[in-house]
Amino acid sequence: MDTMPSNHEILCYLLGESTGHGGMSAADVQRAIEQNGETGARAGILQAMLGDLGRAANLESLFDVASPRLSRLAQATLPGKVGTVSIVDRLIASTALLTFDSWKASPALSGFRGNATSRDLKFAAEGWEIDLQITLERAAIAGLVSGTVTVVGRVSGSHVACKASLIWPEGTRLESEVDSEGFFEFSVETGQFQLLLEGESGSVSVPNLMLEMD
Amino acid sequence: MSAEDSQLLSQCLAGDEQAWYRLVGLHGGLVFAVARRAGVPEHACDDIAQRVFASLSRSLGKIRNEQTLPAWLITTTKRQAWRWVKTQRSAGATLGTGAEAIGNEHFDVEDLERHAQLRRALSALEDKCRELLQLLYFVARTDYEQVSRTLGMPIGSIGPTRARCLAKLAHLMENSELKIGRDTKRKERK
Repeated sequence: MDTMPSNHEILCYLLGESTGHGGMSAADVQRAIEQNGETGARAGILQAMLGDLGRAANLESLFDVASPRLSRLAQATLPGKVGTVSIVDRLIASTALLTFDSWKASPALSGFRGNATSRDLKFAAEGWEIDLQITLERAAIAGLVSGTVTVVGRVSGSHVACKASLIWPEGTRLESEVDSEGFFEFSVETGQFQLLLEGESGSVSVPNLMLEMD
Repeated sequence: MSAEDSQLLSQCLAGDEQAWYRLVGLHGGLVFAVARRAGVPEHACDDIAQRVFASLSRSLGKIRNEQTLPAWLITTTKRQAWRWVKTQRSAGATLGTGAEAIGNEHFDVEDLERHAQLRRALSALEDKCRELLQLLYFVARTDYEQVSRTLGMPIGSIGPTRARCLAKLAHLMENSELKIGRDTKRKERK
């Protein structure tokens, strides 16, 4: 046989469909596939495509991303405007302001003075109230004083937070679930962080939270 | 590198913001798919995707011609996902979150890449073909009766139309340097 079947005719053969009036018969397509290497290779490619399509429904859920989510992602990562911290968070989170400091000193959030080991802070943003109790455990290792900071927080207000995150300047993130009473807790080495609280109706950020020793 | 990806990368390098939105729209699904398949929970996938595209935006001029953009995105997403999993592991003892999904990591990235290619080829089809193939292959358990009702097509014409639309899909994939041929060889080796 001299005539090579088209992709459409091969697909009809593979799917068990008629090629319609004037099309090559299934027997002729089969013969071409068996006898002609090029046609056989094309049939293999089309069979592979049908195999991929057969798995498409299962894979599709993995690829499903709502358009607004992708638009926000594109906006957050525009070339030339990318920083080193979580930009999506910056875009979506309102910023909480300090309203209370147990030391009643400057509102700068850095440092544990002298031998003091704890400090209470309150922050507020629209619909959010955040109470933090920060406790420092000092340790002397090889002559260097270092510390572990425990942050126990409670979030309240009209928003309901379900996740709390500490985010390091280079972008590393440590997460904690917020319980039904609004409590969350972290235990970390001293350093500089951003605290992010996320809920279904929004999120709030406490940027530049420096937990260091004087 | 497909011609469209190459052009989009050039436009992004030239500061075309719309090209960046198009690029993220085209490949965002693949990045989320790799992260999800790696066991990253949904709430953390945005963060992973952001890191991947932030990295891409800084590397626009460095992606080699012989490397496809989907392959670069898959590799970068896998690294970010693994890093995320590692961080969760180290924090899991005290925080108790995320660790349960870590042991299930298993994904065939070629499956994901080929699916991404199918989706792209499908999006370039005319409306009638795209709707038909989406219903038949991309939505689970859609039979001819449902397709007939949804698209207003006689049941008898669905089969022949499907074959014609699949031929157009194959043509699009051949012309966009997609990898169905390589896939055949991979399957033959198994």
